[in-house]
Amino acid sequence: MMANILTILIFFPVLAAFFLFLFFRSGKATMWGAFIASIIELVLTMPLMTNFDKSNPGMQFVEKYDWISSFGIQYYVGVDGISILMVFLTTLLTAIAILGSFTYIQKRQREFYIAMLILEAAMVGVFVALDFFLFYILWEAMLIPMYLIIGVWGGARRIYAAVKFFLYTLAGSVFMMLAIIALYFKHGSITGNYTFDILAISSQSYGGGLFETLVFLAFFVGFAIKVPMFPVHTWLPDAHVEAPTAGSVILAGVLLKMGTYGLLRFCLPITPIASINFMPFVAILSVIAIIYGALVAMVQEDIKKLVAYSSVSHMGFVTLGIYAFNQSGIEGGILQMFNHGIITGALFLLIGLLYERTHTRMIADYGGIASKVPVYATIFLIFTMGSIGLPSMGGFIGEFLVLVGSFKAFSNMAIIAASGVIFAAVYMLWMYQRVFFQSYNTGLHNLTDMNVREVIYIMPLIILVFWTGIYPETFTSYMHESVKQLVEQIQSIKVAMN
Amino acid sequence: MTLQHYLALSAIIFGIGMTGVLVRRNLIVMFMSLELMLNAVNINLAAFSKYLHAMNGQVFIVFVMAVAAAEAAVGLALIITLFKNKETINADEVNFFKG
Amino acid sequence: MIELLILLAPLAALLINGIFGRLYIKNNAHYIAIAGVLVSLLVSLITFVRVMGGHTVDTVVYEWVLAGDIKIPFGILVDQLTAYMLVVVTFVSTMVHIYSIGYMHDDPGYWRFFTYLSIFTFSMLVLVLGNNFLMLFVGWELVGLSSYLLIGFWYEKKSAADANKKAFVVNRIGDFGFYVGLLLVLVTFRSLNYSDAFNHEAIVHVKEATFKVFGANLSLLDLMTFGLFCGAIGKSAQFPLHVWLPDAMEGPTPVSALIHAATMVTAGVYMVARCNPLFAEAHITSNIVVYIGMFTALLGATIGLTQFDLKRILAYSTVSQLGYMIMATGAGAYIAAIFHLFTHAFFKGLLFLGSGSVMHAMENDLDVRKMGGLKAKMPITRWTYLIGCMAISGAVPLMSGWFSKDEILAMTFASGHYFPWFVTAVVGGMTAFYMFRSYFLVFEGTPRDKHKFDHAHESPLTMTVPLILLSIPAIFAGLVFGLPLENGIIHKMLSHVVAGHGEGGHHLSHATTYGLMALSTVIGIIGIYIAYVFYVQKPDVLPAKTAKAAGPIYKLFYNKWYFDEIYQAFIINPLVMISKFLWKGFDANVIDFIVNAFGWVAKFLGSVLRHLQTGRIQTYIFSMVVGVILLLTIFYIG
Repeated sequence: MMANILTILIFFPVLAAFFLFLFFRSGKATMWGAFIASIIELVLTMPLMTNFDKSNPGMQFVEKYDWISSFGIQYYVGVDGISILMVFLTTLLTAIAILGSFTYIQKRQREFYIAMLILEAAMVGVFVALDFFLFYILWEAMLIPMYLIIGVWGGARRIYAAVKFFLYTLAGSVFMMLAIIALYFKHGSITGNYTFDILAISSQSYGGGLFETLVFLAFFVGFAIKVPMFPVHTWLPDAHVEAPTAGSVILAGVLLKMGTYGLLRFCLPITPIASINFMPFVAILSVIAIIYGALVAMVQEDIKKLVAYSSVSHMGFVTLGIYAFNQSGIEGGILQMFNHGIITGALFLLIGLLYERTHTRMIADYGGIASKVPVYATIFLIFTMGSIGLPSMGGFIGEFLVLVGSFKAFSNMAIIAASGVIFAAVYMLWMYQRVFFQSYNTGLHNLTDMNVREVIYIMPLIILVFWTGIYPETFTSYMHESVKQLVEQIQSIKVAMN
Repeated sequence: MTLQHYLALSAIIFGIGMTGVLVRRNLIVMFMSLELMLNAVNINLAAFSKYLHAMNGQVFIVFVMAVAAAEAAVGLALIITLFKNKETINADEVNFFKG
Repeated sequence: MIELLILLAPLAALLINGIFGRLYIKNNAHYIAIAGVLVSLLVSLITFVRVMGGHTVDTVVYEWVLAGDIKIPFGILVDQLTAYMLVVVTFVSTMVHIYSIGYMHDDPGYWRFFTYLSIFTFSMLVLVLGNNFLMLFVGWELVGLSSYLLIGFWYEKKSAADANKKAFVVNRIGDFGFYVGLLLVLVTFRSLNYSDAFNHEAIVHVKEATFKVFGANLSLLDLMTFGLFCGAIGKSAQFPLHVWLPDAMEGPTPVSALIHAATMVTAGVYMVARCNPLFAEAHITSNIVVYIGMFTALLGATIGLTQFDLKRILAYSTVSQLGYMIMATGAGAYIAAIFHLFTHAFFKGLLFLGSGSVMHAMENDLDVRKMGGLKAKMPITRWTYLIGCMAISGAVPLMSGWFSKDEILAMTFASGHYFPWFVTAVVGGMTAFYMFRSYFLVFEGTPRDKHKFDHAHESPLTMTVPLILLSIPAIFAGLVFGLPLENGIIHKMLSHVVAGHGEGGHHLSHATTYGLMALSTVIGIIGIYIAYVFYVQKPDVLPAKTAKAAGPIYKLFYNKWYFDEIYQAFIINPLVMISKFLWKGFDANVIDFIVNAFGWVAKFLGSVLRHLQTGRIQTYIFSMVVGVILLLTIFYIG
């Protein structure tokens, strides 16, 4: 079984979705079925994590079959230290998001859970695909269920948000597709081997000229939209605000990570020279995102929008770390991806369950609810502090490593970025104060504390956020070797350039 | 009989078919004209197949006939459904997809 | 590794109370919390004795952060400096725990309060026990969290909710500097361990180095220490980030005593003293430190002169005293700073707990204008408060504060900072004045609010016993640890930590020392005498008259030099305006305009091209035929 574990991980949710579609008639049964399927998927990830050889920097659990051999297209999957955490994050957050939707989703339940499972399959596939063609198909396939989740189960302006999300990402993927096709032919003409094999394409040098620059820019635009980096971030607040809770969790927790994952997997290894040339540019954009996201988050009136803008700020740290091109920066970036998935995912879940009770997300409608919902307030505070980057929680370690890495690479940028720690405290605590503290707003009826189901799905996230803060080595140990290899590759090119 | 004879016949039949498609408004007649065009092509294929001593053309004819049969089935079904709903098979009146 | 127990005991207490407190433990939470802190206290005392015997520990518990060449352990360092901090923290914490049983006894959040106290104790101990900068930073931030939680303990009050946010955010501004300093330490010494960063050779090696920041070449060591010192400015409430501390008095009084007087706010002093090998070589930073400390001492005292809220008076006196300590560190008198930190923890903790006792009696009213004559009703509180006042004033020889404060003044003088010495010597007189002002207004004279006076009563034993226990070190800490002058136990022990440049290398002749001490004692006595004249002899005439005579200056002091207003007008409001512009102006009108413009173009093209679609099959077929013919023609002609 271990040899095919990745294929199983990709296709199990699809099969489960198909099975539910054919044999489950009621919404409730589908809901439970989907939850069980997502739990099985999560359990299946565990042998992947435990059998992963941490001392091997290369791809593991590789499966490679010819698919459309006349075009050099293969079914080729594998994980390395960079992607394995993302796979874990995907299966974990999907299971939690499904459990978190039990009462939130009231209409078209069957369709919703089937869409979630298909989305999960596509997401796992994106992280493990090692063939450009397969990657691109899954990348696009992921859009469809997400589009539906926002557009069908979203809030009042869901159509606008869904279309905006779809068009933004599609615009990005068009550039990406151009880059992929260009690489296919370029690689083929250099080596005579026309293939979509990502590793083969990565191992070839493209000389750093105009071609490489264009390919880099095309990739960069596609991924920057997904991250999202300033100034192509405006789809995110709209999509987050309108999406249902599960949609926001997946969006923030997994989809955004695909942008930064793409930078790591494609931009850095395939176009290293252009990446190095554009390093200051990306760093400046990241720093702008950090400060800009924080400032705009500060004045938001909608809690969800606030967290959405804070994502822009946090993802700025990730891109800053990645483009520092040193081990601490990149490891910090990956860890920050993981932590951001957990912390922001948890925040969206928490906001969602409050919304279920009160049907409002406006900060002004709340006030003093800490006395009514003490458990909720405590858990929310934990993740608020996590988001601020309080030491002993995961967010701090990621941020710290990113700052160390970027300080080595570009100290001035790092100093400006570090001021983000002030703004993070301002916007999160200001929101927390207005929602939870002060006198109780009597306009809020029926406010009940978290129930057992809600505590259960938030618990793993609490454990993980402290775990990554107190003993991050559990997670960073996966990436050491892979990141080291990547850094050595880039640094050697950098040395050669000078 | 030279090849030219066949080609001329085929061209004439094709021309009749095309004129029919272009000028007639009755969907069934248009449909029949379409079949004529297909058969004109078939004649061409058969003629070339004979004179070039290659079987490819004849194989293609089989394909074309199969497609034509399928097309007839689907097309007629569509026309009948259309008639049931709109009580007309006049092509000019069937423009409800107009943007 | 017995030292690990110091950390684990409060951690266990906080976990137990935190998880089971709300539903099961409820009003028994103090048993668990006190058990935890008592274990810490006992082990700390044992550790102290062992350290006195020369037994220090520097060990790694586990490797914490690993990435490439970065290797940061979770490690423990117990040396002489740590030992003092451990004793201060655990002792005052224990007293406050016991005191809180009485003070918080009918509060609905009883268990929550003790959980937070455990969080604080744990965090503060992480701060002092860590063997590297990152652990210091962890403790640093976690005490910030516990301070946030405890200031906002009564979160229904808007003032409390504002104050805790302010405290956290203002501290974060300092932490930003600390963060940068930390990064500089890491890239300079390739390690965050104290043992690597305080290595003499390493420091000498980078002494002349510069670092380019935003185009300017600055001295590396000065930049690094200045960054670190920014953290101290925030945490130890120095100018210009002192504004959070007085507001922090919104928290329950035991918290003010523990966190905002005795322990957490002195973390900045501890940090600078800990980093003395770096600061000693950073001359520019050290000068900045001296003047910031001096100005803060002056600022706190001037505001303290005019306040009427008992806790605010104490808060500003804390700001002022912290200024003394910071100034001492800047002048190179690290031992004097720690000595004052040590004694201050006891007498200031005592004063705050005393004010809590008064507050308890006065039905939570803190306005000193409504008090008076309380000595008849609450003798224990009165005597212990008086001891505190005598200790802090520095005017009563042989009390703890007399030793430590005079040492700071003497060392500042010795280091050649005559102007700061002069200012802080005058501030010493002010300190004596406003502290005794509060004492006279509260305990002496005649009751000004008859109703409240009648209801006043001495506090229960759980509250008075800690007062008595704290007044013992408040009297004797100086005698025991500070004699002979500048060569007492504390000096001998700490000289291991600040080896090589003990008291900044400055020594005064005995005659000068005694002269300076006599001078500051006299200044203190004058301060007390003026307070006596103002508030006991002629309480109805003199204060009002003086306030009127001082006019604008009085107003400036009374309104805290308008710092809050200035910050609101020049920092907060513009920032909010910019943010709103970025959101509504830039995001919505520039970026989304471009995005929507794409949509409009597509729509426009569609509206033009739709006319080509007639809906007639024949038209389509005809255009197709024409197209084919055209293509064929082109093909044949071309």
